[in-house]
Amino acid sequence: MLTRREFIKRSAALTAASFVGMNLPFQLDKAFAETEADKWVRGTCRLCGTGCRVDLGLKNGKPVVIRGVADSRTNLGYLCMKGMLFYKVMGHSDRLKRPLYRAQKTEKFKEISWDQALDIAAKAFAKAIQTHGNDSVAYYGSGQAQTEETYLFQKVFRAGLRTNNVEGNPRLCMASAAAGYMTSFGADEPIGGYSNIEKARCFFIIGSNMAEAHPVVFRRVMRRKLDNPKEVTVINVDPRISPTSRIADMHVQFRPGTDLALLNAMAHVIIEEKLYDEAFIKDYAVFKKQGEKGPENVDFEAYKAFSADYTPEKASKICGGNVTPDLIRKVARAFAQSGATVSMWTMGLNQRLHGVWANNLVHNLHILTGQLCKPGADSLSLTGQPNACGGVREAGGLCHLLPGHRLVENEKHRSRLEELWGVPAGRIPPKPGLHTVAMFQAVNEGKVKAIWINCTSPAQSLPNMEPYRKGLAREDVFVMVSDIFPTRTTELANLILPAAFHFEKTGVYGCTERRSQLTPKAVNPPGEAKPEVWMVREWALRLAKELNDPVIAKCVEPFVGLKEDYDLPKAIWTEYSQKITADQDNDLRGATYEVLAKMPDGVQWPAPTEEFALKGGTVTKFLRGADPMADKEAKDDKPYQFYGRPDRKLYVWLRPYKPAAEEPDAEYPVYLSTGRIIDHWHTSSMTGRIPELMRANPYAFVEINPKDAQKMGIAPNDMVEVESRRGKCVLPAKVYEGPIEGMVFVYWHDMAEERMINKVTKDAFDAISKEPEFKICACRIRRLSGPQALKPFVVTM
Amino acid sequence: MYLFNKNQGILLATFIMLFLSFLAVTAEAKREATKKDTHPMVTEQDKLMPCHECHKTSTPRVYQEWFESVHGIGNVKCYQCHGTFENMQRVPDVNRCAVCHAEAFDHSENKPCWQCHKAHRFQVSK
Repeated sequence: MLTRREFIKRSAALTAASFVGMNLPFQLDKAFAETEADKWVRGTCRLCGTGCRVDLGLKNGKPVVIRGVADSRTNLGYLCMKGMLFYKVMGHSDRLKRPLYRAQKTEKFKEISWDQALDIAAKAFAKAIQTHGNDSVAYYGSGQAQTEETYLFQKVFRAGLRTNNVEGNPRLCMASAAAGYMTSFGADEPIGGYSNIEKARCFFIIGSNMAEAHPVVFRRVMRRKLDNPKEVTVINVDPRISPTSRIADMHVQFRPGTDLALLNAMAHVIIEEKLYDEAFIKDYAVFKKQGEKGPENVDFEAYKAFSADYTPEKASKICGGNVTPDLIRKVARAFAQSGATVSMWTMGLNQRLHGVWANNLVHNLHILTGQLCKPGADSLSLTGQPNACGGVREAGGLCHLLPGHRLVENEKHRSRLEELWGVPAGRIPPKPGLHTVAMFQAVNEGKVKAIWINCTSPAQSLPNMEPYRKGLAREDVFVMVSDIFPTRTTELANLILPAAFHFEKTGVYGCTERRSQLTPKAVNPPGEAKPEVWMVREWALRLAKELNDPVIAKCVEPFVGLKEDYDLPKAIWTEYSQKITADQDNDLRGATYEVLAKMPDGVQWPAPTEEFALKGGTVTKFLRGADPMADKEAKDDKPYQFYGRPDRKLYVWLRPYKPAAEEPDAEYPVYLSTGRIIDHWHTSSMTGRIPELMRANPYAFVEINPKDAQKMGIAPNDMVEVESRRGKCVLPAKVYEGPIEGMVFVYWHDMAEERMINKVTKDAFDAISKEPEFKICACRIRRLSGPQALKPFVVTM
Repeated sequence: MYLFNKNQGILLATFIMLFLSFLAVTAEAKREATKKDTHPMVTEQDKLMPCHECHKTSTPRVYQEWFESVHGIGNVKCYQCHGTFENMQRVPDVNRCAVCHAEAFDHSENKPCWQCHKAHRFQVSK
């Protein structure tokens, strides 16, 4: 573990950049206004994928405080600063309150009525379809939309508008994790969950600064470590030393992208020292390599021969940093011999050219050592967004997915859905739609003529964003955005639809650990803001008339006339959970609104009956006696039934080390990586408007290793230009022994024109998952000036 | 020969009086700043720095205790308990603890948390 002194040494020495104005002293000890709520409403946190349960406190009908729910199995009562403060978004003066429209993007917006807005939206999409075909329209959604919303959007687009151009921002964060689970375990989403944290004896944290990105999960890991300092080992694997490193026994710092070699070398040690679980491998594993025509079976001996090449000596040379052969051996032994290792990762593995491979290589270690389905052992991908799992991965929110963990390209899956929805056979097109990068490239090329962007800001969050901003600015592309605040994307819209926020509408979020949780409406949305489910229903009805296509109306027919506060989302959830997930691996039939309202912390699927759901659902997937699907699908007497595949096997993949899409060279000699910080969420459209959070991190910094800073004459807070082949930013420097030498790290939340780092990142993407490689590209940096007075910035109307 | 004419003298005297008044006000402000119920003067730019950047040096013991505590390791920051410039409390309202520790009030016997769990260290006896 880093000592306090060591950690302070690593911390940046921040000084005020300059002094602007002078304030009189302020009084302390003002009353805490948020006390004495007169009503509490239970729901889920709006921000990250942890799934913290919260009680929203109201006073005279207005939100005044948020508290954690102590008997919730996700957060045990704890909240981070974002979780405790997001109620300030409600009632904020910047909220979008009325529909806004402009025919040309160069014009000013004008307020219009909902009637006008829905007519304009329906006519624009109808015109695109009639003139350019069904694939000229698209939906781009969010892992922050509720499940009811994503489900209804995709139903209307696929079965109504007959296009699979249904995508969402989880493509940018979780697609590699989903594909990793599918290719390794045959089924998406983690086998276990957070309950293993308190039973684990080793934590393998790779590519995740969970102390900032998942603070409450980190707090559980921290407590486990601090309470059991000798029994529990924490290994942090990251090119950047971060706040997560504070609890680490071993920090493995390597050259970006070389973790593929490191993970293979760990497997090498596990085999060489016979630390693998032979019986588990014999019963449950097969070995696979990617052949020219698809996956090919190989045997254990072939895998041994493959990993024999990744000696710790060879890997340490590839990895650089502090990675020695001895450190690799120590890490591999700690991982294999604990008997209860939990691996956790996020974007460091996922946002990569070989993100799926990186996921496979972590799963390999768990399969080899038999550390799955056992107490304290799990290969646990931490989800970034609150409903990327529940809404997007489970309810069909990506171009290749259909709801209930089904696939577009599977004819039986399509037919089953058409039958369940009561639409004509063949209504869902057989070809997957455009994935995120392809979708926005199609916008650039004018092939997509009308796009609905919901609850996300691709104009800031796409990698290599400038060409995509130009595409969205085209006058021949109708851009419709539903959101709660102005963003970089609303700046490029024709039509802005004001949306209700969390707790201003009712719906379900499904977090990292297969857990679905209900958040009911507690307060009215401001002005004329509406829940998205209402928008989709009303728009679809008008579109059906415009296109003279009753099947579009059929998609929303079960929901016509229902009140949007509760009855409408409940009816959508009922259709989804009772019909669509029935007998699927994410069976949610037991998780009715009534059951979810009773549970302090929701339900983990599979949960086929209410009786089972009321006990919390399935804590460990595939485990007989714990997972009803494992009992039902059992083919033999073995305790684990990996029913994701007919052969009931887990796949150990032979995945070689390959470099990133763009490695540093003479012209651009520095690695650039980007990430989040604790006080801000994504593009800061919400957190940037909460004074406490904005002040804590008012602008993006570029973190530079002190050795690099010295070489380039950069002092703390100097203004530094970060430039790649695609674009450049100018940011203040944080000189910090965090990033490895030769790498800089930039926070991506900042909306200021000169500090949006996605102008610099690269849009190369994983061949399997189509997830872009945000985490690695080549750049060059130079000092522009000494400290400058900077102002925090958020987009306003 | 006078250095200043009459009007210039009046102007100078006025300026000196104003300057002395300004010094007095500034000194008063500084005295105020040392009192426990006020925070030293900060600029708008200062407000954009994390609290602990100043408190590392102005209150090093408090900073160290926090940094080494579970709050410090877990990134529970100053403003989460003490508020920000519009709602700052030197001694937080105990209700702020309830954001994460509402259940702990069951054993508090109406005493503030820090009476047993020393402020900024917040150690828990096992």
